[in-house]
Amino acid sequence: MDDLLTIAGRTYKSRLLVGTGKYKDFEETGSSITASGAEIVTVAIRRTNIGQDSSEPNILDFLSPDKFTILPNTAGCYTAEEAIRTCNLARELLGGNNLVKLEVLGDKETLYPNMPETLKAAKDLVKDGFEVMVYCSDDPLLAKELELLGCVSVMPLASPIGSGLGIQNPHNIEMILSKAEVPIIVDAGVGTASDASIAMELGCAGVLMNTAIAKAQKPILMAQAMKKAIESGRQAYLAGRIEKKSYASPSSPTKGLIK
Amino acid sequence: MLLKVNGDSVEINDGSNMDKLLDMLEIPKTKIAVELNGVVIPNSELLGKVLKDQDTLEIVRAIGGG
Repeated sequence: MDDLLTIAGRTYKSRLLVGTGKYKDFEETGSSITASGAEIVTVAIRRTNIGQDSSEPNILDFLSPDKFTILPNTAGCYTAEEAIRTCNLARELLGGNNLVKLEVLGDKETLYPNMPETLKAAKDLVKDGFEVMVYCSDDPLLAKELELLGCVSVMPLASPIGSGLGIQNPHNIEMILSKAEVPIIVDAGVGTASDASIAMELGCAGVLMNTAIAKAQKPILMAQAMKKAIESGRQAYLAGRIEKKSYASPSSPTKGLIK
Repeated sequence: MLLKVNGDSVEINDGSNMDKLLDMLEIPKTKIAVELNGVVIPNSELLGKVLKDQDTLEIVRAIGGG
C-alpha cells in the first residue's frame, strides 16, 4: 500500500523535505539531497550580485524544477509586506509556481516566527492564489487559524531554527495534530535522526530540515540516516505503538515454569 | 539616467531597456526575477522593458536556503 504525502494536490513518496543552505558547495548540496530522497527542496530568494560572473552556476542548475518541487522560502523577512514581495518574485522566478514556504521572523536571536505578521501574510497570499506552507510557532490555536486561512500545510517549529535541540514540546505538536486537517510538518530544530523519528511517531506528515544535514560532519551520511529515520518513524506511527505502563509486563509466559 | 538597482546607484544611457541593463551589469538573463518600482515584471516582458530615470529595481535569484 502506498503511503503518500499529499500537499496542494500533489503526491510525494518522501516525507522528508530539505533545505539547500549551509552546504560547502553545490556538489555537496546535490549529493546530500539525492541521498535524502527528498522530493521537495527549499531555496531562498536573494538579490543577484551585480557584476557577478554570468557563467557562475545557479542552484537551479543543480536542482532541476523538473525533478524536484522547488519550495521558495521567505527566510529573512520580518514583515508581511517583505514576505509577500518575496513570494511574488519567487513565483515569477519559478515560472508561475504558486507553492511557497511562508516564514516571517520576529527576532534575529531566536528566529521565532512573528505570528501576527505571519497570519497577515498568509491571508493575503492565499487570497492571491498562493499555496502556502507556513512556518509557525507550536501554538495549537494559531496553527488551526493558519489552516482555516487556507494554508496547504502548517509547519510548527520543533525548536529554534538551526538549534538542533529537537522537539521541545511534543505535547503541543500532538495537540496541533489532533485538530489538523492539513499536513503538519515539523519545520526547524531537528538535530539528529531520532528527532526526526519522534516527529513522525507523533503523527506528523513530514519533517523539513536543513542544518541537521548540511552541518553534520558527514552530510551525505546524515541525509541517509534522516531518510531512514523518517521512514521508520512513519512506519512506527502507522503500526501503532504500545501503551506506556508504569510497571513491567513479562514477555515470556508465566505458566509452565520448572519448579 | 540614474537607476537604483539592488540598493546601488547605476547610471545607464537614456531609453535603455532591461536587456541592456543586464548586459551592462553582467547578470544572467535566465533564472532571475525583477521587481520594478515595487511591481514584478512578467518574465515574458522582461528583456524589452524600457527603463526610466529614477526607476528602482530589485533583481533576484534563487540561492541555497532552508
